[in-house]
Amino acid sequence: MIYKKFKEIDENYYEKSLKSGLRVILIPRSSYNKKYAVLSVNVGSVDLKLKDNNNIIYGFPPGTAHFMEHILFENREGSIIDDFSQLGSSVNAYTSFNNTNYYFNATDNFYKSLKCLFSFVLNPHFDQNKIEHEKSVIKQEINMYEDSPSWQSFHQLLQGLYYEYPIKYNIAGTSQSVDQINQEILQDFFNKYYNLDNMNLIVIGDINHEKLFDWLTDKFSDFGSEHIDFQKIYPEEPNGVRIKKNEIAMSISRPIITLGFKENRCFNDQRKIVRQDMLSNMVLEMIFGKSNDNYHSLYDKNLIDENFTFNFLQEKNTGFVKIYGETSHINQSINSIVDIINNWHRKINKDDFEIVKHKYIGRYFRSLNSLEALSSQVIKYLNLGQNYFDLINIIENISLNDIIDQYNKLLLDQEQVEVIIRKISK
Amino acid sequence: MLKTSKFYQYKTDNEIDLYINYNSKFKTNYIHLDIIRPLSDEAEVSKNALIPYILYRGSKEYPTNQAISRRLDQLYGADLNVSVARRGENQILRFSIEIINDRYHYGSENLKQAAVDFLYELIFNPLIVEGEFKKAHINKGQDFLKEKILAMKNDKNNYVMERCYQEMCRGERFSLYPLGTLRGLKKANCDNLYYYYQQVLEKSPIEIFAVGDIKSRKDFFQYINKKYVYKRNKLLPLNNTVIKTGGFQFKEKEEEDRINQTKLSAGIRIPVTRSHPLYFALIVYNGILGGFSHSKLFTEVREERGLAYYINTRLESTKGLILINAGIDMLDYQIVKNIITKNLKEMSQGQFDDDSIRWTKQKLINRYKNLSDNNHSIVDAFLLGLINGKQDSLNYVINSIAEVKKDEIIEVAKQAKLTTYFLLKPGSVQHDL
Repeated sequence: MIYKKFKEIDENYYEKSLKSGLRVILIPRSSYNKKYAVLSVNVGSVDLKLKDNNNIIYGFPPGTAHFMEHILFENREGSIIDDFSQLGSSVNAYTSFNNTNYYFNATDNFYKSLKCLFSFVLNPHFDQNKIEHEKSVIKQEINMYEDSPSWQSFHQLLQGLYYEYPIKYNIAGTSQSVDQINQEILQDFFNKYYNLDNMNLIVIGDINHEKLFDWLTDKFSDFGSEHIDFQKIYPEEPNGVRIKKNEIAMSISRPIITLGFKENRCFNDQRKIVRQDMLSNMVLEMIFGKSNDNYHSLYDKNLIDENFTFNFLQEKNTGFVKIYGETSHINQSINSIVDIINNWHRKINKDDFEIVKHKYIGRYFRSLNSLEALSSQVIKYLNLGQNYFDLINIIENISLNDIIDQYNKLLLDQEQVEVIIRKISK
Repeated sequence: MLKTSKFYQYKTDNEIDLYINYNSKFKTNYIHLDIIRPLSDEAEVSKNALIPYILYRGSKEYPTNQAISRRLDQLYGADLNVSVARRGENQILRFSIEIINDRYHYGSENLKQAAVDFLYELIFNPLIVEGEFKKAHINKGQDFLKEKILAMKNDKNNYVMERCYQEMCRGERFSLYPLGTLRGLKKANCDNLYYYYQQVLEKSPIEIFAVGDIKSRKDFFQYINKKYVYKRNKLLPLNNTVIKTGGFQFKEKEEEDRINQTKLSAGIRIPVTRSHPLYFALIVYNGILGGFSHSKLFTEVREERGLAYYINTRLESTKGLILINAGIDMLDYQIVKNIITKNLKEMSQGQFDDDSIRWTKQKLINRYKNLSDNNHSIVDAFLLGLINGKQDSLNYVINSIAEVKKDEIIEVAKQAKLTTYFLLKPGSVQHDL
């Protein structure tokens, strides 16, 4: 068992890898009523291909991971959701690019709920009727997303940035790819990915670590170390962007522009990836933060509004910048934003840097309040082989030179993707 | 054991209410100020809505939005929120700031006090030029609000809910969009807005909430009492909601838009609000009908029939309304309508089993317990109690829910009247605001 105390942020951290292969993380929060647990499977929407130890290659249609997330709730007579409702707990799940997360929150009945969680995630039954039923639900889900302008701008941006990497597919897939999914595909997918040594359990709340680890060891005492050997295969992603300019039209109140930059450098040292994530976000904050001139010069000319956002999203094998704005002056806005980026190195200011650092420290502490938000950060950093509670040290050790270095590589004179969502007129 | 902390109530010499919730479990301190206005008419609602967005452009000490932002960033990226909300027939101008707990930074500044000072500066010390808000700030505020009103239709689900409220409450003040209208906004600065704002500050109830590591409540109160000085008198009531109990006409409205999925809202009147003896039965009723994933509507529409990805209910407990919301295929509209009608009827005939009552109660209790783990939710829930003149402790709420009887739920169900359907369906014509 690993135990760490993070004094600076008042947090404790327990981690244990069980004989069954499951890794368990506990963050105790004695002052909370809520007890939150998430079983995070290391498979997400990008994991569409794998090679097993007999060199057999398996391919899955886009949307399979998300379909699995849905169908596991349907895996026997009677409703899984009702099992939790009986205990007063709430269960749900979500699929991201790299993970499928099944979670519940409870106040009483924590261990009974935990038992239910493992029971439905680990014991599938892929019934053809239920598969067909779930297809129609998922198609409605896809329809719902397609009507959302912010979702569309994100989706179109990924289409523009990536040639091959499966992050370009909608997490839920398409109506067509969902139609391809059947019992056999689901069974193969489950057999490969849904093993305890491919999962993390994260628990946050007023839970005793010894009791938790004993309970889990006992529960999985019959499980050997069930290690399934396989290798995830990702297509080679060329440098550069696929579609420089991508336009669609929707029924919206004013046009939306989205700009993207791609970061394809990968490091073997995962600490560097975490730093790259932080550096990229901080450089964007220095360029476009509300504290400095650039934001206000754009705002005052009506080239952006309060909905302007910018961030860097670090994923396991890639990362990208997303800049989002709403404006009636499409071209002028895009040109000005790109200009600001390419001229920023002429006006770097040490004071701005200190302020941005302050801001990130504050933001970090705020992120520790909500158990849901904290758990998703913990999972993100686990994927990168890091502990989220170490992040405060990483932020504190960043220097202005690190930021400038990242700016030169990621943004200065780099190729960008432009997505424009125009307004449908009558 | 329930871990909760209560609000301690104070009143300043100028009749500003302060509610302190001492709570060391959060990493931040949260300070929230609400100015409560009656939701009155188009012109006034628009004027009220504009004010926060003018104040946000600059104050005397921080004369530009950039200066405001810089100050917030210095305060470790303190999170400022300025918004306008509707609770019942009340319009609420909201200002809040969340700042890291002083024990997590190395600087010498008292951040909690800095946050209190900052909110005071923003709200009570605006930038005034020749007796009026700075012209450029009024214009920016108007531009911003105009876009925000127009943007209502970008989020289709939200748009459908708002339109359903408008149709079902036509002629009642609840139908006013809390951000006002374009017409109202155009006229908003015909009179002197600053003069108007001074009256708002003089006559409106002002409620401050502080959740966080506030060990010495008395000192904190004294600090606010000395700082928040403003001459006030003849305060307006906290709640201005009128509950309509009859004379409803069934309405079905639809609009078309360039969308993939049909979105519907069904509006239900239910004359049971927070101070009503059946209030807790109403909460359970809403939960059994559509509040959860084990609820009747979700079970039948999604789990059994696969007709939707989402179908849920939303309760407005100050005005006595429930909306049923769903995203469906247009071809299934009649089927879904029939299912809704059937389920409402079943509720009033007591056709729901003891399991669903028990589960709903447990989930509600779970939700109320969780509420005290979120500093924003604590304030939201407490404010609703204040407005409705019913500040129940969490323990009382939990016990009351546990005690709700099936008969009481049926009694609530019998009073529920489905009055309105609003539908947004795929097509070519655009809707107008």
